[in-house]
Parts: sequence; C-alpha cells; structure tokens
Amino acid sequence: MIQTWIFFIYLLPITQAFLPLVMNTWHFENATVAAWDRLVRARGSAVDAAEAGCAQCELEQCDGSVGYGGSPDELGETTLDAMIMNGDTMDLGAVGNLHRVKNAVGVARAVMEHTDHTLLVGEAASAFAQDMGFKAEDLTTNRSLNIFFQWLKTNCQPNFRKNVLPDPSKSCGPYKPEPKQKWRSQKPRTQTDLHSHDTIGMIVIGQNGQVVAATSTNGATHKVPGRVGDSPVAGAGAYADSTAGGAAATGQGDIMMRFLPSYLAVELMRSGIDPTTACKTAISRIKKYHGDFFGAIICASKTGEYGAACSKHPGFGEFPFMVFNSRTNRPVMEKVDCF
Amino acid sequence: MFLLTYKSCNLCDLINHILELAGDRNTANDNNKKVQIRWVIFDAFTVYSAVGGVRCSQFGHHKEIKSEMAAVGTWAFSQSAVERMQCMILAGQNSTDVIESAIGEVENDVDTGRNIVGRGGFPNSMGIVECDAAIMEGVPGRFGAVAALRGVGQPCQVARRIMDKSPHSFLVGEGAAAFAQEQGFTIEPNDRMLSDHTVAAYQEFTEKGIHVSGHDTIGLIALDLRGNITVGVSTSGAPFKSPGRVGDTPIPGCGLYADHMIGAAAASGDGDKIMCYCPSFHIVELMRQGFSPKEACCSVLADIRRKVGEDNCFEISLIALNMKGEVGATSSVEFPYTFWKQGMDSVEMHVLPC
Repeated sequence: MIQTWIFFIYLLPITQAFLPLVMNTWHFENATVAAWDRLVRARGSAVDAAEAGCAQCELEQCDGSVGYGGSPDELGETTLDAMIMNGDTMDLGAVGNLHRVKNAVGVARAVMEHTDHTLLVGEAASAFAQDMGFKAEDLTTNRSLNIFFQWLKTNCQPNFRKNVLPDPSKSCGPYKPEPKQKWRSQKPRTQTDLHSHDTIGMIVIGQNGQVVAATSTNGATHKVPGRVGDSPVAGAGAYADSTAGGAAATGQGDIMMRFLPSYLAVELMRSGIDPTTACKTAISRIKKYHGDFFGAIICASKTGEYGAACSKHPGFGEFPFMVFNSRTNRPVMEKVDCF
Repeated sequence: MFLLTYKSCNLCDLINHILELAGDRNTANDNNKKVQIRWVIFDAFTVYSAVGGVRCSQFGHHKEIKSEMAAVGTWAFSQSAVERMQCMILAGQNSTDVIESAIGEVENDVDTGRNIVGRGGFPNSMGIVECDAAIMEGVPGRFGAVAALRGVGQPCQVARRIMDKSPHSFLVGEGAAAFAQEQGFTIEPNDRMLSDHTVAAYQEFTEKGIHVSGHDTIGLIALDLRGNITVGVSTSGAPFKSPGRVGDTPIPGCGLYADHMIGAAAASGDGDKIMCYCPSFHIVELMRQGFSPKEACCSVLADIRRKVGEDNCFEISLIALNMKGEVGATSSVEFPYTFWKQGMDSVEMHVLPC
C-alpha cells in the first residue's frame, strides 16, 4: 500500500507546487492579494483574478501611476490604458486613451467579452464603457491638478516634444513643427520621476494551467494628448499563452512597445528557456538600441516558474515584484538587480 | 563615399552604371535593354518614369551602394504603389521617403478607398471615417503610428511625423488629430473622407444591415540602395466597425515590424484576431533565426492555424522581405501581392491560392 502511494507521489509533477501563481510588477501587494483572493478563496477564474488585481490598483491609485488622479497629460487630463489577455483562447481586450472611466481593466475585459474587437481608444472607448454600465466620472483630482499646475509654472518642463517651435526645452505649447534643416538629434531624456512610467502588469496562472496577463496604467506624466504606450498593446505591455507562459512589462512604453518584449519572452519560454533568461533577453534586445532606458519585465512559464529582469537607469538599480503561489502561501516581494 | 557624376539621358545606362558600381556586372548587362522607364536626367536633374508618369528626385550624393533593392505590397491595388517605389528606389531615395510617398498616393486616392484604405474608405458604425496607419524603420526600431484618426487623407504621413517629431510612438483619436493639426495637416470634414460608394454602402448597412466584406490594408515594404528597410501600413479599418475600434494595422509586431539587420513584415486581414498573435514580429524573429521570408511567413500562419484550429482560421495575409531582397508571402485566403527587386525590369503580381 505504502509502495503504491510512494509510486503515485513520484508521478506527481514537481511543478504542481508552483501553481496557482499570481505575480505582478512593483510592490503593489494589495493587488496581489486581491487577485489571489479572487482566484483561490472565491474560486474565480484566472481572468477574474487578473482583473481584480489590476482593478485594485486602479482603485488605490497605486503609486499615482495607475488609475485616476495621476499622470495628467499636457492638457491636465488623466486618461487610462489597460489590457487583459486570456492565454487559453488567445482572446484579448484592451483600451487606450480612455477618458472619464476609472475601471480601465474592466472596460478592457468588456471589449474582450462583449465585442468581436480587441482594442478601443479615445472618446469612443469611453462611450462604449458607459454603454456597458461603467460610470462616467472625472478622473482629475486635486493631486493631478496640482501636478499639472506646477508643471505649467515650470514652463511645461519636462515634456515629450521635439523639433518644434517654440523651443520645447524652454516653453509651453502650442507648438508648430520646426523646419527640417534645424532638427537636432534628440538628447537623452533624463528621468526626473521614475514613477512617471509605472504600470501594474499582472500574470495569473490558475491551478488548471490557464495563463492570463493584464495591465493597467495612466501612462506617462505630461504625455501628448492621445498618446498610447505599451500597456494595451498585446505582445508589448503583456502577453499570455497557456501553452507557453505569460509576461508583463513596465517602464518607458514609447520605447518598449517597438520591441514586443512580452511576446518575445513568452516565445523564448515556449522553446524551453527559463523565465529569468527569457526576461533578460527581452530587456537586452531593447538595451542594444536604448542603453539606459527605464523598463522591467516579469515572466512566468506555464508550470509556474517565474523570473524578472530590468534595465539599469539613473536612480533605478533594482526592480521589485510580487509573487504569491501555493509554495509561498502569502504575498512575497522579490527583487532583481538591473543590468 | 563617392559622388555619382554620371549624366545620362537613358535610365538603362544609369541603372547599368549603378549596378556596375555595385559590382553586379552581369545583371547590369542584362538590364540594359529591358528597363521600361523612358528617360532619365541625373544628378542635377530629375528622373521621370514612364510608368504612371511618376516623378522621382534624387539627392545627388550617394553613399556606397551595399544592398539589394526591392519593394513589395499587399493586394492587387498595391501595384501602382510598388511601381512608384521601384522608380524612387532606383533614383536613390531613402526607404522611408519611398514608403511615405507611395502609401500617401494610395491613401489619398478616393478610388482605392473602396479597398479599405484612407480617403474613400468605409466609415465606422456612426458614419465617420477613422483611419489607422503606422510606419517602422529598421534602423533602429524607429516607429510611429496613429489610430482612429479622423479627417486626414494621408494618415501614414502623420504616423511618420510621430516617428520623427515625437518621443511617443502611438497617438490615437482626438489627440492624434490635434497633433496632426499642429503639424500642419488640415482636418477635413467627414464628407470629404467619404465617397459615393461608401455613402451608398453605409446607407445599406444602416437600413438593411448589409455588411461589406473585406479587411484590406495596404502594407508596403521598401529596401533601398543603402540597405535601409522601411515598412508602412494603412487602413480605414473594418467597415462599420465600432467607433474607436483599432485593429492590428498600427500595432507594432502585429500589422508591421522591421529590423535593420533582418528585414520586415506586414499583415492584413481580420485585425481583431490578428492582433492576438504578433505575426509580423514573429516572422522577423524566424528570419533572424535563418528562415527565408517564405518559410517564416508559412511557419507563422501554420502556427496560428494550429492554435485556432484548421477550420477556424480567420483571414490573414502576410508579406515579408529580408535584407537580400528576397520576398515571402502566405495567406489563409486568395491573396495577390506585388513585388519588384533589383534585376527585374518590372513589378510582378503573384496570386497565392488559399
């Protein structure tokens, strides 16, 4: 009898100890707990859990870089980007430049479940959200207004303009294009506020192996109105494929979205590369062209192994992320050194 | 670095000369009699093409010619664009200028709009034309995109301005229109973006619920004589789509991707589905691993088919070009594409079976 039990124990995949898994960028612990509770206690799906985790950060305005009341654009408005991807079905829902609705990841899920589309943007996305029952409300708070007014006082420094007149390094807009012969090569932008590019990126892997990835952010502070970063772009901000794993990224979205780091990491894991190496390769690919860009990525394979990597940037030498799985049995913050 | 001072009234001789300099003497001799372009005036002059009367200007100084030249486009209606690209590439123009110009002509032509691109493209469910477009240079991952842009007949030009003039990569909706206006574009009223054809189709849709099929996008890839590769894409999106809907076209890695060491790819088809698979990025990655463009395209399509099930495959068409000027294409539907490469006297159209 004992021999039979021992035999069956040996048959158990060792990796079962790693699932289920909730993992997210930064030290946003409440989001991790919210996702885990939804997954394990409430027996929700991995999609429910990822949505709940990101929504928690939207509610709490994590670091001022997720949800309402943060990162005002050039006109002082806060707009949101989010996505959610179901690695079982490869379904995806995303919103970009969402106005006046707080629960951006919820709207992204509605796009996935209530339309045949994948990405809705701008005012039309807000109209869709309201049709779906999301409340329309002002995303501006005293805090975001204050950030905006302080920025105006500094003559709108820093900003994301280049090759325009008046000189954007000295003046606010409105701007007009500068004649081409006067264009200067872009000086590297000094990162004055590391929080200006944070995103919550979350990977959830259910006990049954369903991989889901989701993101939510209010984007880059003082961005040009209408700017969408990497967060709602499949393969850039996040990617999920239950046959391989999931990944989610954070950082300078304008740069990162050109390199599809999340997709690359998942494909590398598919070919058997461990999550840490997959993450590092994705970051290295970007560093080749942007040596000290600000960015990080988390990766998890379908069996629940995980890793992370980050790019060294002035003031940013290590990257914290949260893990909660059946081995830790509580939310644990881990860190990786940036390279 | 050298200055080409060759002056000739015959483009055949000019091409001959360029190809000799590139070391490809045999090809130069073969080309001598076959090129269809009528006459050329070089260096201080302007090159004219007899094909469509397209005018090409050249820049005078040329750096060392080091690559194959090629151009490829999606769908049959890309033929005139690829012919234009052939002329401009041979005249020494930069791949990004070539793409911007060639796509712009297609976008702004209300007749090609029925192919679901730019002006004359089909409106969204509220009757408003919203365009998506993007441009990506292989050097070094430079990218610009617009989505849900209203009132601009050449959205890819706005995408290029984003690439050149903004540290951002992607602008959408009203913000994209505001940026375009700042950059000197006129935001035109919606009825200037519609055509008789699309007005009639929209009326049929609202009154009788009749849909229009097709998810065409124009995708063009140019490889210039200096070895620069650029890809551009543009679409007015799925006919009668939800307002604000963005498909795969302007999404990096999905509608398009380019890498200056490897090549470029572009996709067309059911954008809502395509954008879950990052096919253009995947194709370039496979080419990086040594796959030919054709093998890479086919492998990516096979991979998608495996994931969704053979019977459930959505409409997707893919083109790819590597730095040797080799072209690849594949599709889940009947798919004509046009291409030209150095050594060919004219643009050819191939039609892939399903």
